[in-house]
Amino acid sequence: MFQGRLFDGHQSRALEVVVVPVDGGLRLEGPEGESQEFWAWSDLPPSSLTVTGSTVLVTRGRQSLEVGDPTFVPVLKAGLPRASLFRSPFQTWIATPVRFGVTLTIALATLALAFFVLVPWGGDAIASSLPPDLERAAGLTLKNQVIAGFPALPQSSASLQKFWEALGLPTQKTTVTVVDAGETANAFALMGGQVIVYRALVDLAQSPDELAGVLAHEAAHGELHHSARLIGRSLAGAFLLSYLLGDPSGITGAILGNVDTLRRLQFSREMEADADAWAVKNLQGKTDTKALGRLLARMDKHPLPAWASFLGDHPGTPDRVRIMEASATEAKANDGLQTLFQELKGIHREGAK
Amino acid sequence: MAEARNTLSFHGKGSTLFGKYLVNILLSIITLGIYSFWGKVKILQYQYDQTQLNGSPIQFQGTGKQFFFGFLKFLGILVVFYAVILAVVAGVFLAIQLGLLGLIIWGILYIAVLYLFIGVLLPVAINSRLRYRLRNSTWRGLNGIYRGKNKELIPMVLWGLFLTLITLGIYSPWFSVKVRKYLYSKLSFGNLTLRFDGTGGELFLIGLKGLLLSLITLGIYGFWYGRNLYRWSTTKSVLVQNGQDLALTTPVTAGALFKLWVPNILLLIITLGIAYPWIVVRNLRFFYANLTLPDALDLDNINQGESGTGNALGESLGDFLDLGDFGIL
Repeated sequence: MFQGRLFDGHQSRALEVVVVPVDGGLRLEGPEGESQEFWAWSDLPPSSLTVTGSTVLVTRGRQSLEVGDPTFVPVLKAGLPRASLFRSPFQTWIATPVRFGVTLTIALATLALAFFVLVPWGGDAIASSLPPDLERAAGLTLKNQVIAGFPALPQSSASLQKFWEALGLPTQKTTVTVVDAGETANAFALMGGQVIVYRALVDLAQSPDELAGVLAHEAAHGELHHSARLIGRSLAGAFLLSYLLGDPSGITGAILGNVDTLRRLQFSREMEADADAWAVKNLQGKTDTKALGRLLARMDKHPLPAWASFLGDHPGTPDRVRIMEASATEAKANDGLQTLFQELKGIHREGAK
Repeated sequence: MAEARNTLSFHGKGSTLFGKYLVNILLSIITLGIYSFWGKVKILQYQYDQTQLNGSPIQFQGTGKQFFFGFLKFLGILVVFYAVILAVVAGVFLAIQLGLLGLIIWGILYIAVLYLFIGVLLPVAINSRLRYRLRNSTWRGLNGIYRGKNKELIPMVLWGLFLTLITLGIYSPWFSVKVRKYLYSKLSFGNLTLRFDGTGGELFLIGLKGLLLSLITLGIYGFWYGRNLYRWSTTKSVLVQNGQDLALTTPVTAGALFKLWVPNILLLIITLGIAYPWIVVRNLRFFYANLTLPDALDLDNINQGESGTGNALGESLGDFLDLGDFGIL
């Protein structure tokens, strides 16, 4: 027998009762011993039991019964063995190490599938749904923002544009812009076929083939919609995190966000490799496709060690050079390109004076 | 010192809550997010169950199915939200071609769209969540009710956001107090109602003093600022039972907040977030330990009035807007 407090769900005042475990349930008796109620085990749903501190709570519809005696718990366990109260906090079906291991493995596999299959697929789907006009307009806006921070070199840009068009590569409309960023030698692509080349990179190029390799590589990024796909994949990744965890701004989200960053870096490396491959393929027979590798080797003054290559946004230069050399073919000298190349160099020499 | 007649306490354990979070994360991943609604309910149920008011546990009776259907309704809102935002963002390219005037028009349009969305969604989320939570929170079989209406709260929030915007944030304490007064006035639990007596001026002064002294002391005053805010918020909350005002009090000190916040931050950093469930437990224990109910409050004489209604739309919408949990409710 246990002393209990019965609440009828209409008022907060308790009715003192004596709880007597009997066959099939609990008998609740009033203070004078008169039988008042019978609560059958079969009427109590699995979620009807709660233990808070030393209080045991049994609910039946709006009614609730409180017993301040922990020894009441074994009585309930005998009557309601399937109640959720008696399950492990880790849930019965993953309570054992083997089951937990299986659950963890499936969860990790699902996460990997989501990250490496669903996110790329979803991201590329978002990118491919972007109207070309929007991509071009976005590229133009970004270009205007980028070049606003550098002295303009309109003559160089016009000359390099002619050089690019002389290559005759099968791309959408590509606009090449040269800017003066001091000693930094770099080139990059924006959405919608916009390519920005730093003046120092033009100066570093020793042959038209090297410059052609750089332009073809950057134009490939536009042709293969890499920027849009990267944005699409980032959006898809963020959505997936938010959906799976419901807590994208929380700590778990932050940890998985870092995993996502590594995944994006990997995609970035893949994009660079794809752009190299596109450049080599489309420059075959037109220029010496090994030339880009030579230029890269001169630019790469501080290469990442091999063990840290997963942190880079480009593949390692030795790997890129090796792959380019393996698939490269020699080409006869292109006098037209040579002339345009010298014209560009001349503009820069004049500018330097 | 006499023992308090009315007590509020939290008995949950971090390890148990951790188990529930772990199960929630693993099963959510396996089920591609579908389990998260049931997982969230289990976590809420545990937090409610382990809270006792005068020895009787508070219970949360919402279900995962309700959360799931609330999310489906929310998806409709989300699609419209993203479609409009995408259209406005895409408009920037058109605006650039139109020059400075285009950019100014675009900027105004962008702020107006965001303002309207937040101004409408925020009150809808607050009303919906409070209505649902109160309806599904029971104590001794009795449940609360929230009577807030969108047609009242939406204009209040739109106007408040507008004034906050044009006063560069200075109006925000008055806005916050006005909303709190409204929400409190719409909450009831049987014959027990709530009122908020704070003013925007008080909150502004606490904030101003807190900001200035925190800057001067390189953040150290933050604990006293937190204490002042906590004390103000608690002591200005008044329970009303049968026409009698019953003020809440708190023994909170800056030292107590230091002992809460500093270990919480260290635990989060050192464990890379794994200790989050323990931090939830610490916060809840602190909250209840620092809330003193008036002795005159007669918790044995509360009668169930009408029962409320509500769906779980506000759960997903509230998460989207990072609304928090209004304490335990």
